[in-house]
Amino acid sequence: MKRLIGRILIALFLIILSILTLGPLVWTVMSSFKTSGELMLQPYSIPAKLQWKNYADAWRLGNFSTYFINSIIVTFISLLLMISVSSLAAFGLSHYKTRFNHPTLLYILFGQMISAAMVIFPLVIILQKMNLTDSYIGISLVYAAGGIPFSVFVLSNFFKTIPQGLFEAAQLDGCSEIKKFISIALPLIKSGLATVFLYQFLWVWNEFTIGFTLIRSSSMRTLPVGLYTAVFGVLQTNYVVAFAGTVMVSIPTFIIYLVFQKHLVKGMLAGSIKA
Amino acid sequence: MKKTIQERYKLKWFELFLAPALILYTIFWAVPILSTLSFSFTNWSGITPLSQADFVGLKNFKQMTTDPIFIQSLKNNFQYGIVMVLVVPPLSFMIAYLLDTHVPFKKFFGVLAYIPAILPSVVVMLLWRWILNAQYGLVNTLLRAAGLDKFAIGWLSNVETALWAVTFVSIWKTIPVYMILALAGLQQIPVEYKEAAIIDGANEWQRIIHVIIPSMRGVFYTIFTLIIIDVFRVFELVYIMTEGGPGYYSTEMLLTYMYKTSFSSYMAGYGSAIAATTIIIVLFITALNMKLSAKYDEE
Amino acid sequence: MKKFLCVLCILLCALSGVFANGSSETSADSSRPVVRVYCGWAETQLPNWRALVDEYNANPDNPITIQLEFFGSSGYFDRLNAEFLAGDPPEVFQLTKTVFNEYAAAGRLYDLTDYLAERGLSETLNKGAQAWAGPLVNETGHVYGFPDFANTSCIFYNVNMFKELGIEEPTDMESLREAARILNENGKKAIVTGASDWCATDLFAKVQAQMVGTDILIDAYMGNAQYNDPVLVEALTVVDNMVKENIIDPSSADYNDDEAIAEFVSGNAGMYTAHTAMTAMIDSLAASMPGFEYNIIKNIDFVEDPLISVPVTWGQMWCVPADCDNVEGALEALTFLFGEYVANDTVEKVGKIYNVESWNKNLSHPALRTAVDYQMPSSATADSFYLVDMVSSRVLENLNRGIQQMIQGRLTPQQVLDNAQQTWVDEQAQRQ
Repeated sequence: MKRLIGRILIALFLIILSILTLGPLVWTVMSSFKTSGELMLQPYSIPAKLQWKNYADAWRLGNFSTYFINSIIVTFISLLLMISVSSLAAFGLSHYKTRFNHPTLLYILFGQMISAAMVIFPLVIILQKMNLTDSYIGISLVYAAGGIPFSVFVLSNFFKTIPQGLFEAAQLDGCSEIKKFISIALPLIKSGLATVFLYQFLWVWNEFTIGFTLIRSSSMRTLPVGLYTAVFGVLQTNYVVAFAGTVMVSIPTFIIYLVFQKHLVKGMLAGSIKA
Repeated sequence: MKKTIQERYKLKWFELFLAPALILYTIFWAVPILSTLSFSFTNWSGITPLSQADFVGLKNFKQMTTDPIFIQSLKNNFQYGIVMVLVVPPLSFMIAYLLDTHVPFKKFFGVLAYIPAILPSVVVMLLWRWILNAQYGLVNTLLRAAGLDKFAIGWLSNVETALWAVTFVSIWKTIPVYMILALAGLQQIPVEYKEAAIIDGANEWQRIIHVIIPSMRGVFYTIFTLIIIDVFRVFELVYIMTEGGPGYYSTEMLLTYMYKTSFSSYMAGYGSAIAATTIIIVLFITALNMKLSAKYDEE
Repeated sequence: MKKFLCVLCILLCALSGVFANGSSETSADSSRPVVRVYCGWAETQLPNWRALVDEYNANPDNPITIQLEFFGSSGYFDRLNAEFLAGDPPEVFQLTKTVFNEYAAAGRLYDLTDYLAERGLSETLNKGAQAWAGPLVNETGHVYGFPDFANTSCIFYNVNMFKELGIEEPTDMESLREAARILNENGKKAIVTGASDWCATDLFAKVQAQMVGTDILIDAYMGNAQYNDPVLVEALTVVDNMVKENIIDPSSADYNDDEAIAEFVSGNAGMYTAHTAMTAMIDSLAASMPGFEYNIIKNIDFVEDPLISVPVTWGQMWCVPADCDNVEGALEALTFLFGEYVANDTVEKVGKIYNVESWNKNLSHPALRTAVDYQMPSSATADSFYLVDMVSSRVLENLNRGIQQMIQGRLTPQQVLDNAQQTWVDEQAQRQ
């Protein structure tokens, strides 16, 4: 009897959990296939006929093809930069014990407290001085820099799990420091790299504030910025099309998430907790 | 003698490995924040050249103590922060625990539960703006269908409910992140601990209180630290959902007020002082949290 | 190890080489100077401009290439501010009056007085609009921005609903009260407004303009008067009473403009109060409501013997930065965008009211036609400046919020204006 009640409670919990997480999404997807009239009159019914036209309209009006390409380029450059410099730094921090380790880590972690909104003012000036305004590389450098605290922190925890004996053996074989890093350490922390990739992809791909303020021309906007300007501009009263745009923007994050989701918990296990 | 050579060798490689990251991080993240801090001592407007601004010492900070909008933002930010700190960790732990121990297809539900966290925040805000819309929003249509017309209010445009609505959306978006942390923590607890407790005849409730929670102390510490930093960084959420309104600044937060002051009222100096204050508050609370947890560990 | 760093460096250089000038490809024709033109609106608000600009750029005889950017969101001014900060502002940009005042007062804008004279516009451009196009304290009377489209503060009404219920178009408080009574009796809301946006303050502006005039706003800005002056309190009390008598529906305190317009268009409310720029939004929602027809009330006297009939916003300013490198190019772009060719097309296709009377002859939109024929002539003076544009952005925000709370029954008019005054005092102290 007690078990039965337990089971019912668990089932109830799962139902509530599913409704809360999926409900809003299902509603958005459903609404994106309706006509404006349907949305106003029967907001929570199933669409009478799938209006694929909304998606075509959103794609065309919102200029999403350009934004998709921009987002892909910016995300690619910034993740490449961020992960390469962060893994170098994390290896340095975890492998060489010097008196600077602790202060350096603190200096880097301080950046985790900074919100993008606090730094955009000076960033605008710095990018202008370096002649990088409105370029892919400019905004990517900012993203790469902003992602360094988290990446270095997580990756250095991964590097720490590698037994020192491996490196000592390699040293005896006359292995160089760079080789130690590339051929011994890196392959052993693949899942760490995947974790960092997943989290930072989600950050860069979804980032709004920096993109919104640093990008100048409409042809350079990233997806979230493009979506925001479209929804409050071109699509202001055209809700169904705006819904369709929202759904389209979310699809890539879903794909990346489903591919890399197994690294979520794994990454957390090795990463954040040991601190 | 040999030791110093080795030290030097180590230091050289340490520097080489860290140089690229440190250069990048310093130019594009550390220098900007230091610049913001230095602007906070000036009366720079932001639309005139910086050279025309005057150094005003601590005037901006003094001004803040009598600025009702700043005080309101501080109050809102603290109310939001306290609710988040009280609600998010226990709920995250609860969901993680249930997922870990009692739920069939736990992988599937784990993947599902994380979904709110992967959506772009712009999408989340727009989605909830529509769901909470006064007229055709999902919540109000359901309420009206249930005959509860008088509860069908503009959740985000009503002075009484707006801050709660914003907090709710924030909880919805953040819980998955901390749930994953808690889940990772749970899976790290050695099985022997739990088994030993079962042999001792402890029931589930006792096991949670006496075995599981104490052995997850490190995780809880991480969760609290991250949440505290996060609640003061809240910006996009409010900027997109309510722009600080409705009524007299009922959802204004420290950083949204800072952003408006700098960019809409053309007071970059004063805005920077608000940013600096926010950083100081976060540093102070984080240090306090560290100290308390260190003290607890000693005991 | 050196090899590795070299590889890394080469990779970085290659990346920056490939991507650094990713944006410059938009300016294909490099032989002519490119003039950037920033519009704070969304492209839907000026849908014909893109094609006209493309046409201009395609003509090799034209001296410049116009690069037109639409922003269309509340973050536009943050963007623009960032560009000024970075020392590289666009050659031509659009500013709302409130923001314009700040820029003009800071000396950041190019003086357009001579330019207008050369084009003969100092005669034909509406005098009110010219007075409008300077900083709030404009002793020299110089013009620092080209004011684009006029909007009159107005009340929209549902033509068919008024006909069916036998309601006459109101002309004063008495007839408005009567109209509201009939609407309420038939289960309709009388006037809705988007009180979580600036429409709440627009309500106040309607009465304030008729009762008090513009001078007190400039005085208050200068510190020679106060926003909680008894006359202003009296004006706001008129609005408050309209809420209490259910003429303005209290439910709209929670609405933004979209929601208020949806109420109006879907036939739940007989009237919607805002200004004429909202026609675009009403039209786009009304497209899905066949049979819906609306117009604007020609004139309502909220008080006896009003000073003027309605307040007018003379539009957004199109400005050139004071330290512009290519003034000639900027003025060429202005001449094209605000010349008769573009004007005729815009009036016809988009339905905008220009500040040069002769440019409006092709306007056919019924509601806007009413505004041009009945409202503009009687109000085209400096006395009809629109309150919403005559205060700092923080005071405006405070007024919006305060009047919203007043409509919800939480504050008295006195309290609202006391708060506004306090906000202005605080703002000035913070600025010094």
